[in-house]
Parts: sequence; C-alpha cells; structure tokens
Amino acid sequence: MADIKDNETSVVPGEAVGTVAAQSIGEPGTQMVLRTFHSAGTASVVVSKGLPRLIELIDARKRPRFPSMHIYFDKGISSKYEKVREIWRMLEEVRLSSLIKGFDEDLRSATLTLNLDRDKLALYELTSRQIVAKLAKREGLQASAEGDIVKAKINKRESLKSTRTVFVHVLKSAIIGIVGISKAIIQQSEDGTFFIVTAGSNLEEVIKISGIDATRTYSDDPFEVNKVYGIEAARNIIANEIMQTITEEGITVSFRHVGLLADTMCSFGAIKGAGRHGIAGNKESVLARAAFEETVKHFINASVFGERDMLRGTAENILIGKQITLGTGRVRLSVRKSDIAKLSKK
Amino acid sequence: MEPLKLIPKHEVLSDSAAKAVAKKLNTPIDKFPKILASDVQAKLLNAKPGNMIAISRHDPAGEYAYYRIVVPG
Repeated sequence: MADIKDNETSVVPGEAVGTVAAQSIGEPGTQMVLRTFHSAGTASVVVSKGLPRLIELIDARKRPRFPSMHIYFDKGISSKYEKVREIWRMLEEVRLSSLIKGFDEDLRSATLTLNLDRDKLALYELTSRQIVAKLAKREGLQASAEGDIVKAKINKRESLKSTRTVFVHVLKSAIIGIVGISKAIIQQSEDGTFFIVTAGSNLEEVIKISGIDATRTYSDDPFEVNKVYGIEAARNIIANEIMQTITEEGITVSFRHVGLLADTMCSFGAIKGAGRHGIAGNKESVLARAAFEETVKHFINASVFGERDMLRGTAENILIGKQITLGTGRVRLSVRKSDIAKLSKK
Repeated sequence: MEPLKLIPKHEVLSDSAAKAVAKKLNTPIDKFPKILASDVQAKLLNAKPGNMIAISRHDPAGEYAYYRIVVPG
C-alpha cells in the first residue's frame, strides 16, 4: 500500500518540474507586499521582508540590504543569561568615532587628538587606557592618553593624503565588537535557551568566539554562508530563507519547488542568481538564451564563435516548431544496428 | 516548519561507487551538480577534482542522497 502511495506521489518522468516550480513560486509572489516595513522602537532587528527580500535571494545579490545573523550557543551557555550577555558585549561593533566628543587632526606632525566622551565610555565599560592599547596595535601608530585626551601619532608620515587616510581609518575602527554587526539583541526561545539576533553580519569572525555553536549559528546572507560553511549550507540557507519569506506572507508553497530552485542556483558550485547572468544565462542552447533576454547579443556572440545548437531543450524546439522534449515527447525510439540487419535479411 | 539542518553530512565516494551512482541515475559524470575543490566541506574531506561527494540531505520533502562532482576552483 505504501508502495502504491509512493508511486502516486513521485514525479512522472518527463515532467517539466522547473516550469512547475517557477509557476508555483511566481504566482503567489504577485500577492506579496512591495514595501519594506520598519518597526521603530521595538527591540528587534530590521530585516527585509516580502517581495524585496525574495528578489534579493533569487537574484543572488552579493550584498543583502539588511543582513542578519542568528547566533546559538553551546549547551552549557545557552541557558545562562549572564554568560550569553558576556558574549553579547563582544559582538556589537562600537567605533571610535562614536566614543568621542570631538577630534583634532594635526597634519604637520601627523597627530590625531581625540577628546573622549566619558559617559559613552562608562556605557561600554571602557577606559581610555583600553583605547590606547587598541590603537597601539595598529601598525605604525603610537598612542598615548592624558585623562580624556588621547593622542595618536603616525610614526612614519609619507604624504598628507596617506596621513588623512590613516586618520579616517582610525576613527572608523572598531574598539570593541565585530566589524559589520551594528546591533545585537538577546532573545529567548520557547525551550528557555537564549540566542542572539543581530543586524549586520560577519559569520567568519563570529564563529571564532568560544562558546558559540558553529553548527547552528548562521547568517541569512547565502554568500557568507557559502564562504564559511560551503555550498550545501548555502543551498539550505537559500531554501530556508525563501520558504520563510513566503510563509510569512501567509502563502503556502511546497518545499520541493523552493528546494529545486535553490538546488539549481547552487548547482555550479557557486551561487548563481536566476536571471540572465545566472541560471538563464548559462543555458546551453543559443536559441533558448536568445528567447529569454538580450536576443541580439546572444545571436551575435553565437555567430562570432560558431556556436552550435543541439535543439535538445524546450524553448528552442517551440521556436522551430518541433515536438518539445517533455512528457511523452521526451521518449525517443532507437533501433539496434543488429536488428536492422535482421530486418533487411527478411 | 523545522529549519533545515545547516550542514548535512558529506562523504567522498570511491571511483567505482561514483560510476555506479552515475549509472543508476543514467547521468554522465559531467552533468552532475558541482562543488568547488576550494569549498570548505570539500577541503575538510580532502576531495580532489573528479571525486564525487555524496551528501545526506534531510529536506522537509524527505531524506535522500545528493551527489556533487568536485571541480577545480
């Protein structure tokens, strides 16, 4: 009985699964909201939702508009708020420029004088000495502190321009936290364990922190996941994120369609979008590519390089008016040479 | 929906096992999905271009094996 049911639900050979998937995702997509919502004042992280997020994922944009991370912890830590908070303090990026009241650059002696903001320092439990230590770590920089005044001097000055570049970099540098993470919020899941949601992401650096469970911590930027965890994890992130985006809108799409899309996007070993630079642009057939977008470009390139079209796909066979290779049209009849010999003998 | 397990199990197949898979699926080796040799998981397994990697996937649609061919890059 289970066998029969299994056979009933499996896909028939020759079924146009890609087209079905495209329609199954595309039609509900027309009902999605175009606007990105911002909820001000709530203790949450801004994430893009709805159609913009879906487009971002499917087009495989290199830099998502609002990247975010979910950070999970090892067993001993995840249920203890104090320990989670300790790690949390290491996450949020605090730049030097946000810790000062003002600064003065002396280009002649290549000295940057910073006037630290005491209240801000107290907020992050920092001392001016810590800042000096952090600055001194930079190559070719000398730092010293007198009360709230911190002086950073460049040892070897080359040109005015390079001096200024260093100053700007110093001001922008992160004193505590991880570059790219602008906000981090501790949240509690249903089973009582804590996890952190961040705005901005830097997976590579975050999983280096001890106490973080690297098997569950993830970024919602597929490219970053690909770099840190590999292509399979990136595929799972793409599928998960598309699924989540669609489900949030109150629409149901079977996972198989989304999974197929994610599979195809990741089938080249790197993440490719669905558009003309990705999946559609990588089709083998000239006619199929020309039928999609940039018709003239594809014909010109094909004629210059002497490309061949084997007429195996669907689009090119519709173009030339032949039977398409789907369903029963996919079945081909071939005769063994030995059989022909037998026939001719008769 | 339960989120997918982020990193499924990867396994390098022997050449004979890879050939058997290709035959079973009636697909030439070069038409399989690819995985770069520089991929983190491929590196962990020390897979070389031409190797086939079997991945044990746990999708909401079911559990199955997925195969990728290691390509240089």
